[in-house]
Amino acid sequence: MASVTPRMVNRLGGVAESTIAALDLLTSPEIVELLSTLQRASAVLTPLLGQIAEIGPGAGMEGLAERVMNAVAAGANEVGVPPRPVRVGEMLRLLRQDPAVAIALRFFLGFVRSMWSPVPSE
Amino acid sequence: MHKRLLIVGAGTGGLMVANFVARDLYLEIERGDIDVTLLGEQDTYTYQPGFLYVAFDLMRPAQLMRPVRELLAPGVQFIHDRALRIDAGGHQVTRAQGEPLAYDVLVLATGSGLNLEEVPGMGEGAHWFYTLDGALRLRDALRHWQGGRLVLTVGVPHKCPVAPLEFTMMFEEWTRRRGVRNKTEIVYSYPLGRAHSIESVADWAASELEARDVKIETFFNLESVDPEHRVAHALEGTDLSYDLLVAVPAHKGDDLGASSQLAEAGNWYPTDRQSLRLHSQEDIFVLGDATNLPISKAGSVAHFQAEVLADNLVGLLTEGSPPFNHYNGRAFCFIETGLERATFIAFDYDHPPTVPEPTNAVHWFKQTYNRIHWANLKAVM
Repeated sequence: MASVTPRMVNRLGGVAESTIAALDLLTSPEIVELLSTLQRASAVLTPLLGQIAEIGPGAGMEGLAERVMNAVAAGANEVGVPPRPVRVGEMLRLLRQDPAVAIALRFFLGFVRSMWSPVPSE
Repeated sequence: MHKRLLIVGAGTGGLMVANFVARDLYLEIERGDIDVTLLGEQDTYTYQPGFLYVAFDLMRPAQLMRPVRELLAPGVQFIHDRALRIDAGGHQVTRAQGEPLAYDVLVLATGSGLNLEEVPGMGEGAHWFYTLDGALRLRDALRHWQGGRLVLTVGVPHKCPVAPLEFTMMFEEWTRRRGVRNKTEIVYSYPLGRAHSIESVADWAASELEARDVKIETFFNLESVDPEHRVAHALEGTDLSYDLLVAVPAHKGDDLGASSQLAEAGNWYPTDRQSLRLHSQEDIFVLGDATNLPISKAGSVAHFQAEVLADNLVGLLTEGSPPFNHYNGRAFCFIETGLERATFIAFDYDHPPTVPEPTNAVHWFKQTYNRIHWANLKAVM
């Protein structure tokens, strides 16, 4: 039977550290808060997901982006979590500059939606 | 009410306390209610237990070092500067290059260093593996080793109490692998009347060393070294000639304690054994090597103390509660018994250790831990 070797341990250590770091990042307060906020906003965001796919680099995107971010911010305000105007502003800037960010956001939101059922509308 | 936690020393204890507290109090830090500041003379952290492996060409220095800033939890402010003096009455720490830092609660994690001046000739005549430079010099000497007499001496107190045993047993196997064991004589000396300060470890070590044909010289307190004639002189009058002298130098605390008139002999801070509070100071705590506690100066001790202290600091900073969590003297040390086997000891104030049979698995566990130690420092594991 093959023994453990120093190179195996080096590799194992590297993988273990990366995994621990990734888990730590995914469970950081910011990410958990973001996911919770998105979950709370999902009733508003879900109908928008279909529209995002059709977005091009036109004026319509800005309006939709504003609605998305407002929904996120509103979701945050509902439970008293402080909104993050700086981060929201930065995301809006990216959305305006680069349509690819909007597409990435769509995939991210789709991922979030797959994790939780949409909150029923009142 | 705004509270300022200042931690002096960016080693194992300082980093862990800062990160534990910052992770627990991230909301308070984000709101600006609490500041966590780490003041460190070095902006690169070095994993000191790795020096032993560097000496045998088993780890590279780059594997042992990380920038301090990469090891901080969000919310910890790092200041790269040297603390010069603690003004306990004025609640501030003066430093070399900037304005004094005010604090409400101060943590001293200033570690320990080598006391080379204590033994004339040691700096010139001996090698050691307790600094990176020393480990690299020893590595170079070992690369040229063709046989002869290696003498190991131990000064007290020193970090990692089992490291001298580890080095001796690793060296013995290393000479066998290089085919020079039959040309090599190994002498392990110790300042007490047995092979280790802990009786159960001493008994175990004596049989392990005898089985490896290592000579044990007890009651050997190194007094001076004659580099020219390659002789180590002991206070007891014994002389040991050598071809390679590997000394474990005695350690001393950081000068900050002395300059602040808060430390006792050896620059160790008089520390309460349970609360880790500096004697006669309500708002100052000490952990790791810097204490005067009769326990091992080891990374694991700093780790266990950091967990206890962080709990108490969170209570103190948020509710003003007195220390409720007590440190019980807990320590854990791996012991390499060669190049592919290891054992460990675990003990506390009231329970001395026993030494289990060395195994291959413990050795590889230790090797893995050496490489993921960073996650411990970041307080994510």
